[in-house]
Amino acid sequence: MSKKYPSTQVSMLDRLTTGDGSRDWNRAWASFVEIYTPALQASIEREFRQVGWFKVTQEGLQTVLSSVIFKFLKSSGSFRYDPLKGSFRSYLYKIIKWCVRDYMTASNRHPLCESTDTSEIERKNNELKEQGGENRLIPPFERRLHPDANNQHPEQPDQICDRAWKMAYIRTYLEDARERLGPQTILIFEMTKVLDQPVDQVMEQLRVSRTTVDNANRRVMQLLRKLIDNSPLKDELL
Amino acid sequence: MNKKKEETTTPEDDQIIQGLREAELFYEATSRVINIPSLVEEVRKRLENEPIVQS
Repeated sequence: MSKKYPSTQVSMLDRLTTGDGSRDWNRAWASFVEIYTPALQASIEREFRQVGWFKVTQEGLQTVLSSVIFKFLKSSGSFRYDPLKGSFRSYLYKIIKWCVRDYMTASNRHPLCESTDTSEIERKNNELKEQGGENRLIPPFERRLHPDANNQHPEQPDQICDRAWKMAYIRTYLEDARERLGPQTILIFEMTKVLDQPVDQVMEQLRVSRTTVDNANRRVMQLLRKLIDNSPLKDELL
Repeated sequence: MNKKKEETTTPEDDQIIQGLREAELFYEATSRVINIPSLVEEVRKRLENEPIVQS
């Protein structure tokens, strides 16, 4: 059986390729938006910078994000994986490039800001406000990710993108595990392991026993290990 | 007395959990400027207006 997507052939993404508008498909694309928006957003912001737009407005970012997701969903039903054409991520990068250029062409204006300095962004936002505009420039992704960090060595956009995509893949495996093990099992895992809430508190909130918590965490970890072990992305993920 | 077996995690498990925790941070950084539920709704409306036709 041929794989439709490289590196990420888990059930959520597989269901997307049917493109048939079924309930399964609708659930899959809504999950896709939730899981992949950070990676898409980081990649869109990087693309804007590469073409000289150092800052983008909130409205601009949302417009491009919506177009990227829409174009991807429109093509997902007919898209077939060709290993010679590259990875799932590369495929989405191509869509991002088209959408960023379409947006720039449609907006027909010069870059709003040529610096990523916070003070420059604030100055521009004040100008925009005085002009009565609603749009606001947003701080770069690295500043939003580390709002309290000093500005000496901000994480580079390429690094941010790499991390964002890895996180999206790991979240995809968790979503796949949710389908297989059920929502409560994953909720226990998320509360105790990801959000690091005290086990006693989780037991009380969900009215479950310690054995249930331990079993849930063991089963989720086993499945995640298995999914990642079978993934061609394993070396990139860990 | 039977001692309950301690749950053990491997370094690989720790990396997976750390990855999921970082994913939460990325989600928060995104949510500061993008309302993801409204983005889903926007895409849903576009799909309703321009349904996907299977080739």
